[in-house]
Amino acid sequence: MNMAVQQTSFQKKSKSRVPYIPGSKQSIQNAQLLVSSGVPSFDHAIGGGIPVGTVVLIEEDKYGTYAKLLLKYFLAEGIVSGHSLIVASQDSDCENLVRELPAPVQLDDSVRTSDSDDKMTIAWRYQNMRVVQSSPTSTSFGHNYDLTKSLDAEILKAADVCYWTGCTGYGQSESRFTNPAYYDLLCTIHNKIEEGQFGVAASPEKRNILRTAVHSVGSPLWTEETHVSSYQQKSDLALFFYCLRSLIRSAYAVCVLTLPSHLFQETSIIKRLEHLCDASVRLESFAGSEKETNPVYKDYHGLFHINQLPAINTLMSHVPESFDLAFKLRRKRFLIEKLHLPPELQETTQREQDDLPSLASGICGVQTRSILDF
Amino acid sequence: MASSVCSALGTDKENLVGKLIAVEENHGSNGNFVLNCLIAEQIQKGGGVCLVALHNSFGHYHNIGTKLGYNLRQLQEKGRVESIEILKLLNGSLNTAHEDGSEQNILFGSEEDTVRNIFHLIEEKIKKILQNIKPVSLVIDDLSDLLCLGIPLKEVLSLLQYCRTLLDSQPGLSLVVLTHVAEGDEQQNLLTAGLCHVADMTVSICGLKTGQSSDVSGAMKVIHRRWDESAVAHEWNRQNLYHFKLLDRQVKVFAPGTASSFT
Repeated sequence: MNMAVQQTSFQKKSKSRVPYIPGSKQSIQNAQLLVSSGVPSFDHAIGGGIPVGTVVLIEEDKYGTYAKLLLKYFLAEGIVSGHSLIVASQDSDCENLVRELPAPVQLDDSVRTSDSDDKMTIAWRYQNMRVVQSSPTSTSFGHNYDLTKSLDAEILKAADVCYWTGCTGYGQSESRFTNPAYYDLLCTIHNKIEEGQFGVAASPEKRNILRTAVHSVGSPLWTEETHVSSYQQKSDLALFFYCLRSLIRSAYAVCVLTLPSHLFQETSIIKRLEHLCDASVRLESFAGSEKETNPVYKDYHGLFHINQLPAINTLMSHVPESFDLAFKLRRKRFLIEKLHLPPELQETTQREQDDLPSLASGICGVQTRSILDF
Repeated sequence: MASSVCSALGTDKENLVGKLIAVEENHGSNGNFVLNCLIAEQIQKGGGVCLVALHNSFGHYHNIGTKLGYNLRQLQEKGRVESIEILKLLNGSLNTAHEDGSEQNILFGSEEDTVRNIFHLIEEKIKKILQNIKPVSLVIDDLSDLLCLGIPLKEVLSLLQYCRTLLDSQPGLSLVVLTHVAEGDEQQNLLTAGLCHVADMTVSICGLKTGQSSDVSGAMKVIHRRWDESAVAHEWNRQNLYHFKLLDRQVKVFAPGTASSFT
């Protein structure tokens, strides 16, 4: 009897306090709840996924194409996982943006022919070496999307999507914002959090995650009145980001914003916004720049810069394997990987001396024809 | 654990009461660990903490605390820790936007009132803890966030000045203030300069100039001023440069060039 009491006093620790939410997983490193950004290699680069409760800033490339694409992947992943969405933009039509969302790649089309690789024999001394992986391959969390197909209209109809394309008429007579649009968007998000019971304190029967996507925040189209000075516009943006941070922190929500940072005259405001976000990355597209024709970058469409990674609830943030990252766009996947120089296969002017007719082996002859003598 | 940071700062040998420690976080680095380590030390010494969380939530500090060996929520119930979460108050002020008259409404009303409300809140909480326990450390996480809230620099500096008056009026109090500074941001630079000018010790955190490394998270510069004890008197105004590496449960501090992977 006594023994039995003693045995029961030893209780197994309850396994998980975090409720399971579809489309989310717990980080192995710090038990943080993560959601996928819709691009598996993006998740990998920032430490497994976007932690719930954080704000991610994407500084747009020059023409904004790739940033918009990342936003679409983020939204498509939300719809596939059954999350609620808020889409906000002043630059483009939100409903169109959602209608054009790409469909996930079915697993059977993406099976790659790995047989041909197996047939190749590797020299025995390299057999035990680690396979160099510049991008992750497992897709158990997050999906790849096919840009040529768009999501089913029926799936879209069933999804909970909220659009914001401009002021919806929240009174803001005394608030500190000079531009009513920002305050209006904040109120929209706040109401959505209240209605959908996304707050940390709320206890709905089924937990879900709210994904908020804000396209081109702070672009010239956000300014309604022309007489507002640039200083006020700047302080509005910082205030908006700060309030957004507080909203997202207090809820089961994630937010991704794209910012046309090349349109800003002063860099100090961008640094302030980066600081107010949890993660911030910058896309640098080669389109229209001289890097487009540079043979070094011929495999890629642009560079991917990491400015800041989230350090929520932990001392240290994720340290990626490499900070030299580049992205390329394929029909069925958006890949962010370690920047590799292309193999030198063709005859190029720099490698001229290698192609000279080689002398018989064993003779270290000096090439008298070369002008430069190393 | 936190001891390596505290011994680098010299706070383990020194009585902090009545002192102001400024933590300057340069853009591209994260200085949050200094606050966590100072909180850990204060709790280990048996003191109390009043946390003004502007940049992170209280839960963030609690979660880190469990890794460093203390439980902030339990301590809060015991009355040793108090917190003021501006992020939460801000949420509340969005909520009550349509009604008016709430005292803690940060988003509305004049900037001067906001700063005054925050200060009254701080004062009230500090008096409350000081009844229970001594010494108490007032930790302000990111003073520069008040600038982002649209509060003018002058008001932010006067809030700092008011907090310093508490050092005199409330015996047993020490002050730790973190501020973020980015190059080219005039307001943040002025705020940092104003803070460092009155600080007894300045801890400056910056990223590595040459980029990121997997062995070193950043550089920490410690400048002592106005220390009265002889133990560290010879350190007066000397700049000590350290490198640090953040790990999941501890911070390693070492001299530049002596990271564990180099030796």
